Amino acid sequence: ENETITLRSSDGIEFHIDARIANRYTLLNNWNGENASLPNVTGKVLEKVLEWCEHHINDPPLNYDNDDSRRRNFEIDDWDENFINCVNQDMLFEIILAANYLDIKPLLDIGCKTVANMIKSKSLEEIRSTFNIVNDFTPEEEEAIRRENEWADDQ
Amino acid sequence: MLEDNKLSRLPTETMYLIMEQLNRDDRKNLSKTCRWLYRMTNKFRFGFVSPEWEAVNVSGIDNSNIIASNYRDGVWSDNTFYLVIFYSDRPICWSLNLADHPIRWNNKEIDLESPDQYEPVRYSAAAIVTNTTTTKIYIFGGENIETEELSNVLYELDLKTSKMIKIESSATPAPRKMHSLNAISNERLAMFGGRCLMNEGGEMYDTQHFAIYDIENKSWSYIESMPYR
Repeated sequence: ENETITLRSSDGIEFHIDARIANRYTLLNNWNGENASLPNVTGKVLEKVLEWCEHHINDPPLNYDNDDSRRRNFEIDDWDENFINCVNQDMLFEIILAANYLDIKPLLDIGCKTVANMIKSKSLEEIRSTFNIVNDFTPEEEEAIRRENEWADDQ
Repeated sequence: MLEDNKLSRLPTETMYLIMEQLNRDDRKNLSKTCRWLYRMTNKFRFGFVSPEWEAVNVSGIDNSNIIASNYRDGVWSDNTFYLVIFYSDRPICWSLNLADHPIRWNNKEIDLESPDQYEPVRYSAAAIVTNTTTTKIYIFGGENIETEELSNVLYELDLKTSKMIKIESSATPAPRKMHSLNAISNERLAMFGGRCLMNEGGEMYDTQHFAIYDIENKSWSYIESMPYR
């Protein structure tokens, strides 16, 4: 019988989770207890984050020290890909914010990589419409940026 | 109501993680979407987090062998890097204007006031002083490239006229090399440290001298009590 701890989301929903999860991601431990609740994470988001954590409960221990290359080069596995593709874009950003806030690095990396994939090899207009970006450059600025990029290209 | 740029909800460090996953073209594209992302991608590119170095094509070098002997040889002013190289027969002022495109080395012959007293040095230190009418480079000390003896020569190079004079200063510091020299408010120079000769046998020691040169009065003064030993 595994020990459990209780987490409460910002909107007051309680989650009883395997204590091993909280031990893997040390920040979760801070929110264990009767009256503590995570100020920045809603129940809906916390549920997704914990679903991910539970699936990865038996992963090898994390070693993030001096390991930037791992971070850049990792592949998202099938389960994670399915997990992240099943959420809408708003939830994706919520998961990234929660993973950042709770310091769950592998989930943060998956989220960031997913956002990066939404940018890769896309046209300017596609990127703008994907993320609701309003072009706020003046025509003069656009011209200046175009020239600047010409410079960088002709080397 | 117009919805906000969704990426702008993410903290900067998270944006950096995303940009780490992008190649240069994708980042360039992202930078062109709006002002905020333009600043963000440039901060990422040139920032401390993950700077991206690019080789700059520098032209204008022939086989003249620009040899900087000490990283305190060169000085900066107004986008331009100046490097005075003392060749055995004459000094040449090399310069690199970073605002040029493409960037290229330029060189200018220096007019020596008294060629018979010319002392070619390396491991010297330079400082640049600019005021409304003139820009001058001061070069102190170093090692004579021919005799390998330490020197305490003080040169003044006027960049406008390309004339170089040897200054006779009072209370001149002992000969040394590999020291530092910096301009203070375009009126004085601060010199620190360097290697001096300990004895006739040629042994060196690292000095902790701190000296100030007054450009107007052509005299050196010393700060004795330094907070170290």
